[in-house]
Amino acid sequence: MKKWILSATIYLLVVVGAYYGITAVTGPSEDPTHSNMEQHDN
Amino acid sequence: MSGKIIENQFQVTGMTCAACATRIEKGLKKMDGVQDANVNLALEKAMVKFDSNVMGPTDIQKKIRDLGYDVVTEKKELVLTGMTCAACATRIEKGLNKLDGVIQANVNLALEKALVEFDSSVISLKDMIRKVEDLGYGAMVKSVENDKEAVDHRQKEIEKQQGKFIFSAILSLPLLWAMFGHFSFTSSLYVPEALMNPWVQMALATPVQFFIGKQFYVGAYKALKNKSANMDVLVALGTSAAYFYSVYLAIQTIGNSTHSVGLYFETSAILITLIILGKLFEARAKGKSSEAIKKLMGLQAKTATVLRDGREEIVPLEEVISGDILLIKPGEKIPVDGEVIEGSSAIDESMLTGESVPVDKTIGDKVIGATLNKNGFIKIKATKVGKETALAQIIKVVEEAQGSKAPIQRMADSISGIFVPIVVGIAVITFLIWYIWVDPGNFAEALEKLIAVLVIACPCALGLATPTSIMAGSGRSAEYGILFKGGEHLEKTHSVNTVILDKTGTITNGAPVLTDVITEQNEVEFLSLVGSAEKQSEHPLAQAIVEGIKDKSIDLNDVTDFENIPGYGIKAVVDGKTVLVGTRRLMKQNNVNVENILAKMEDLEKQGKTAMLVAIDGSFAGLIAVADTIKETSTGAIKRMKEMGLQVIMITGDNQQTANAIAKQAGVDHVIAEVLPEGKAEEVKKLQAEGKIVAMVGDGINDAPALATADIGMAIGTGTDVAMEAADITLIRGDLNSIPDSILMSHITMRNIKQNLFWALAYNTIGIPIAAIGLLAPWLAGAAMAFSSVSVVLNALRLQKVKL
Repeated sequence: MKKWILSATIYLLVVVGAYYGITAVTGPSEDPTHSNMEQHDN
Repeated sequence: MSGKIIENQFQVTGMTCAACATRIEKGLKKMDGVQDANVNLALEKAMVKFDSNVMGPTDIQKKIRDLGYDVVTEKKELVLTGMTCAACATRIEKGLNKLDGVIQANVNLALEKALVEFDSSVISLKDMIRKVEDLGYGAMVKSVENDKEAVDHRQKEIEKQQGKFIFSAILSLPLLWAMFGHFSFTSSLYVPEALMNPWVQMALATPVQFFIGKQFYVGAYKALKNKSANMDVLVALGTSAAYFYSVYLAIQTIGNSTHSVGLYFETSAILITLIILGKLFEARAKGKSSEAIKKLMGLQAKTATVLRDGREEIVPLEEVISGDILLIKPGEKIPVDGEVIEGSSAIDESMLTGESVPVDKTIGDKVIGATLNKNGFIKIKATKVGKETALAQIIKVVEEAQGSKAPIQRMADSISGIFVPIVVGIAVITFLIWYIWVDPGNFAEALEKLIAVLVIACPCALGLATPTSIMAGSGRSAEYGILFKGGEHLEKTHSVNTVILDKTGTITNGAPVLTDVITEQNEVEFLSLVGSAEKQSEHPLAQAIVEGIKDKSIDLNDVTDFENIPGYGIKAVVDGKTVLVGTRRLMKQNNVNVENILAKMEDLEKQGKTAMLVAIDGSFAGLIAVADTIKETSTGAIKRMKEMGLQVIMITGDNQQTANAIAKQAGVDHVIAEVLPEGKAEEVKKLQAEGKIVAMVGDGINDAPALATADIGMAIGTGTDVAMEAADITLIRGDLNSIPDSILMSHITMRNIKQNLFWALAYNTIGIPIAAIGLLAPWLAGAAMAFSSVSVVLNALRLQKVKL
């Protein structure tokens, strides 16, 4: 169980960390996304 | 229309000459669908070519049996792995049934087992395992070790699914967070910038889609390879559509940072997470539904104290052999079935019979393994060990019943078999309607509806509805001492409206006891003379008299001369006195005047008693009567049956007068008396011809044909093995209350199955249109689907708590 929790958490941190690392180097980008739920919401 | 022509070989027994072979051959050839039949007397084999659309191997087996012969088959259980839904079970079942030599294969999704009846001269277990593996699943022969492996495997599977769920949830929750950030009512919710990035979303969704979701792709591939479809196909299609469309949209954003897109990564990831959660709950609940068997197995003692070479030895249960002398102290479990050879004690048999009052056992009485010795020290001789014991037999019957299919399941099977292609069709039509008419050109919207339809329509609840209820229902019944031999009997019992009860051994105790002593002489002296004389006779009535006299602590003397006069009675010389015991004719033959007592004698006979006249030294001395007594519980049980609206009939070979007397005492209104043993089955047929659904309850070998003829045959477990073999239900308790209990249990189980089928079908039939008109987001569809399977299993588990 621990193995699964640990690997998912590390992976999540690496992905998010990589994003902030890259944006720190290249500068922040405009947010191009919105969820599909927005369509229902509007 | 002619279907596939199949040639099957059957091992036939019971043929004695060429005429038998010809008879079978002719009988088989007359059957609709049989193209050719060839019976080889020397090899004892029948080769039959038949149209599989018209008939099956079971019909041929039945025909051979109807002709008076038998077919040798073997029954084995295979432990299966890798099944995900009802369609998988149906595929394995179809695959096995297609094999030559397989008479019948039943796959139980909930138990993950296949019960295969096959002709071992045609096919081996290895061939069947290979077939299952070819279909993309795992199989092994069921043994104690494999059972343990299967339990371990299930436990490991639960742990693995738990891990996968947590992994999946950790990566999906940030996606859900991002999604909620876009609702107007949650607009104030802070969403980290990183989670709004399409590439971050893709990085989080990808492992969920392909690593966690691999099982769905593998399952779908296996199904499609075998030209069928299952829930994996639906899940793989739905989530892939969401995932790959989002990837396409993400790629569109490259070099176009102002292009705003609606992504569906959270849809695919959350769907997979929820489906894994549903499977996890399902696996846990499935484990619980086989608890009845685990409970039964747990009843067994682990060790036994054996007397060998005059020494007490504690040995593991497996080392006890038939004939061993076992010592059982108060509070200990009786290790195996046996006979008491020393001591006496009260034995608690509630774990097997549900009967709460301990039963007194003394020398010569039989004891059952796994029951509890309450207060006395007893020595028993082991008579049945290992697979022969009553407990092992009970476990076998319960396992077979749990693994069998109820006819109602055929409906669910046929629906789930065609469900997936239909659903894919509906999903595509939904997509086209949305894309072309409702919201022209809006690909994303149409795709979302397609995904929701695919996901809500998974027929997993439908596949689980019947087997889980059958498992729980038959398991719970076993705890009450009611053993249903198969799901079909559990289903049919609730429609019974007429119950025929055999008299001797069923309504009554089956053993005559001394009831009346009428004499004007000294009773002790009178009984001592009668008992001494009857001691020499082996007639059951004589034995009842002797037992009755011994119970009064009256001493018996030696007999100097003894003569048994068949049909009349006995003549003996005791202490120099000539004692005659017997009928009116015996008295008349010996010129004994019995005129004054005849009225009393008739009175006793009207009460269903057997009265015998006694003369000492040529003069009338008294009258004694014996009778088979009614079981304490019979009257109450018959009243219960009548209150349930059942017609209760007593059947017996006794004369009308005796039969009426017993029936009156027991509260039975309808009596069929003076029936020869072979006539009982005829009486059952007569009632069936009147449109009655008949349950026959009996205990003796002579009841076996009637038990087999009746719609439901119930054997009293205290009776003979033959009766139990012929019956559909074995009532371990001798108590007739088990009859209304079994009918009630059948009612409750059927109601549970119908509830399950209703909910399973309702989820799909209501869910599909709701999803198609766009009122159900895909992630909600996933949650509803997971909930449907879990609710069906939980509803079935309620049967484990039923109180009768």
